[in-house]
Amino acid sequence: MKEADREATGLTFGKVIRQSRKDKGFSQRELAHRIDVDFTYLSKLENDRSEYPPKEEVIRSLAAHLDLDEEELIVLAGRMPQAYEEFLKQNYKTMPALLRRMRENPEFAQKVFEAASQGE
Amino acid sequence: MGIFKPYRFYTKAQIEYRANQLLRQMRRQGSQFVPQWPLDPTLVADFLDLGVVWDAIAADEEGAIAARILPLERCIEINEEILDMPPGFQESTLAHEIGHWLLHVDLEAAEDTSQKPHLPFVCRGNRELREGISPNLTQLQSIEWQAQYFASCLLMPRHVLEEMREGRNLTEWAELYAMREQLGVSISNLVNRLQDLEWIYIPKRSRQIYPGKALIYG
Repeated sequence: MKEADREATGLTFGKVIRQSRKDKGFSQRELAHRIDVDFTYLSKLENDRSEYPPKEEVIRSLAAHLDLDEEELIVLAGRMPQAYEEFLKQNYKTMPALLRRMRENPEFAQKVFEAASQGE
Repeated sequence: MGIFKPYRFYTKAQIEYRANQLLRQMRRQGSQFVPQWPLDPTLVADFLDLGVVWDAIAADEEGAIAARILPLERCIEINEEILDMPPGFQESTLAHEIGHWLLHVDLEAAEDTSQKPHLPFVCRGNRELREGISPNLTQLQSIEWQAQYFASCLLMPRHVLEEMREGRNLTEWAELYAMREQLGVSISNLVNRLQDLEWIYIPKRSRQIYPGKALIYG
């Protein structure tokens, strides 16, 4: 699915991985086997029914098998503080770039943390 | 506007046609949707863009729930408890729900995003039919039969069975169990289907298999 389509339809983590699985021609069980999770768990992820966001290694494995951007998928999965989840989901496309810049530029990261703490 | 179609009677031929039509559509779509046997009904759900989720479904005041359809979410929920059931049961349950989706859900209404949330369409297996809980027993019994007949036709199409019976003696249990393995269904589903096609006949409370009319006269 094209990125613009994802944004326009407000797709969730579950919808993105389900559509990508189908595009890749995997059955639910087949993909679950490849990423080494139970198919019932994958079915919950695909339907946004999981109680907690999946582990990062599961997300990275999903991204690798479905040719998705790992960082985008991590943000979309909501592996962030609950309070920022909605904001992050809405802006998940820009988050990886922000996080990368923070990692590469500690001074910039410090400014972001200061700004964030002032907002609390 | 209701999300479920008003009750209507379907003949066996109409239901079989609908199941075969779906398989033809999948074949035309190509790639991963080309049907192969044993048929994985989750691929059928994918083809129909139906979500499938295995989850805990709590019993309600009328008892255990095997599966249910959430029409506006285009989702079929299957109770995780049926994972413990014999091989073929999961496939049959999902194919049964797909039967409900195609035969009993108003697909146009399900597409209508302005629809208000609707109670899910609940399946309890055959329990309520035996116990007579529903005041609308005849219609409920009929739609459950329709969905189950659809499931049989989907998982065991006539043309696939025709190929599989070549060189087999269907009056031997070993042959039926071998067919069951190839089809990925339960032995009771296969026996019911073959009896329905009149290829075999097994008297009640008997293990003896007799050739059916279709084998004798066909």
